[in-house]
Amino acid sequence: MNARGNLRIVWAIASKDIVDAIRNKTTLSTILSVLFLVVFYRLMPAWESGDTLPRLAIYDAGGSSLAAQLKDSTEFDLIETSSQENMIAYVGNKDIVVMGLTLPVDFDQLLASGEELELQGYAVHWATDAATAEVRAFFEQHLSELTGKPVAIDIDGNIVHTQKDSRGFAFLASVSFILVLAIIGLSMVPNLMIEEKRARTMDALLISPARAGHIAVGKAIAGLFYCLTAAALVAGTYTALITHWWLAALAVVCGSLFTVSLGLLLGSTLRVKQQVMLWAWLLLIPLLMPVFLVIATDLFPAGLIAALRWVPTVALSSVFRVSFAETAPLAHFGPELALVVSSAALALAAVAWVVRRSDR
Amino acid sequence: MIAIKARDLTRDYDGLRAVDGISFAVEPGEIFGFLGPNGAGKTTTIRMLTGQLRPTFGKAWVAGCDVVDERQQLKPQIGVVFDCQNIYERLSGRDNLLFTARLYGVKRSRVQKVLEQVGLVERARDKTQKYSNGMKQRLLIARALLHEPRVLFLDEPTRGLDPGVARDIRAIVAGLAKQGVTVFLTTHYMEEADNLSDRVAIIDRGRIVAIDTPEQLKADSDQPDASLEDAFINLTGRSL
Ligand SMILES: Nc1ncnc2c1ncn2[C@@H]1O[C@H](COP(=O)(O)OP(=O)(O)OP(=O)(O)O)[C@@H](O)[C@H]1O
Ligand SMILES: [Mg+2]
Repeated sequence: MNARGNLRIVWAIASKDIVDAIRNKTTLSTILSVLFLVVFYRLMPAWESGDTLPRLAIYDAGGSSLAAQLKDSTEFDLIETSSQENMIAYVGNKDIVVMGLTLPVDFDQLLASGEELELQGYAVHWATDAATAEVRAFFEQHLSELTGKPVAIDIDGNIVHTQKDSRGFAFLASVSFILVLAIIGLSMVPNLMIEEKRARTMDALLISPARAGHIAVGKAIAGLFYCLTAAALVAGTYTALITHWWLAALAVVCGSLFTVSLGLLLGSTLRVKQQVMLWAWLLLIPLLMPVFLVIATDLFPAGLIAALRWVPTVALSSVFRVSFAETAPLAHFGPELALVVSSAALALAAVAWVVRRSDR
Repeated sequence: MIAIKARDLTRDYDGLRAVDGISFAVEPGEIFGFLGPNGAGKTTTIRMLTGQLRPTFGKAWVAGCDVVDERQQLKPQIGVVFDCQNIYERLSGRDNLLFTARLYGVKRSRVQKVLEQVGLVERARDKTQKYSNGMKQRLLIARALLHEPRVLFLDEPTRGLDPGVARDIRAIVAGLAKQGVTVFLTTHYMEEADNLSDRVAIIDRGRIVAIDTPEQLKADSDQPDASLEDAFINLTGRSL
């Protein structure tokens, strides 16, 4: 068969499934529930900041008298850090907008001098201008009240970027992408295949010019379509966070390829829905758990954490976080992306093997 | 060219011999009835002849293609009406056919033609979920005819249908044969084999026990005015 014929068949199957997936209760509920979960996640920090106090992280270089006063405030929470780096790390690792502040070594003299105080403040890159302005105004006012003189917090050029191993907001965002890709890829794609087997429309497909390979590719395209669409929706809720869109897009594409390939493998080897549910969960657990476990560096031995970094989803989640970081040098995401792509290739090879066997 | 030829066709399912060395040939334009009780091996034979199942032993050719080695060439030559109503329930009848048309690379105008041929034009835009069994069966036939196959396989096409609907389906099948389509039809209804088929093979426990015209089969039976049923009892020692 020529290339046009192949394309025609693959596209016929893919477009049917793309339309059919939203009419199919099982696949539709999968898509909707995972999107709901992710939007829920996204909104949680906002709720939290609604009923917790504003937070100030300070590095008090000179052991000033102000720090003790700040501690007693009931209007906000104070976190004292032992160095400038720790203060910045604290700001970058939270899922709410924390004001970071450096009190210079000569703070007490400055205070006594009677001049207006200008302090260096820090805020995360993903905070909206409005949110940053709000916390800044809040602390300027409170510090003015406490010191009895005008205080200005200067944050120009003090933007804190999240990093590859950041927790907090950046971590939640990377997990959201992983959840969407893993659940849609691993449950929707096999369901599309199982459905054809159950209704025995698969038999009708196989006596038509379609081969098992066309069917697998057609289903994969439908799965990729939904992974990419859902990931685009997730990205839409994190626009302020993502700094390297090309890398986020690359991560989505490679991640979708990986999860869709696993989904295809399940769909082409299994026959009934219950089996798919069972196996999808059996795969989701070892794929999703490590993403959370690796950040608990103080709970687990270093060897285990290092081993978990080889799990493709863990690698993928760190590629996402690199796409949120200030810079994205190849060394920060290359090995991880290569791991994801080779895992996808491995799964696809397994699919090709299964499909070729069934095509004989 | 012979439309269907089977030589020593055999299929085992884990030790169970479902089809046991059957040989026969079907001429182009013939309606060939494959008559047998439940579990006789009718579906298994169709699945082998249409390239869905590998024979354990033996060979078969349909429309000049080896059913194992030339499966892809065979596909556009054959149409299959399955023993179950395997259509997309969430799609309309028309969309089911449009999808099949795209798979086969057939012009969209064929869809309207086959819908007319099976008398389904008025309900074509309804979801097939809402179709009666008879309408679903018509749709299955329409789908099998879409790409104008030379050989049509029908696996018990009237099973479970009202007598009136069954009669309509038989009329459609008879019309096809007039247009030169070769029809391979399995059934366990005596009248269907008798009235519709040019020739009948009686299959029992995976073996063909007789092949002939319905008239000759009846004549070969011992009794005068024998029905095909009598012939069947005579050949297999039991009733259908
Ligand atoms: N996939 C299978 N695995 C094991 N045994 C099978 C399988 N399919 C059919 N059989 C057995 O092979 C024999 C022939 O089955 P087949 O379906 O070909 O009969 P049939 O003539 O079509 O019967 P029916 O009138 O019930 O449709 C039966 O004994 C059946 O139980
Ligand atoms: Mg059968």
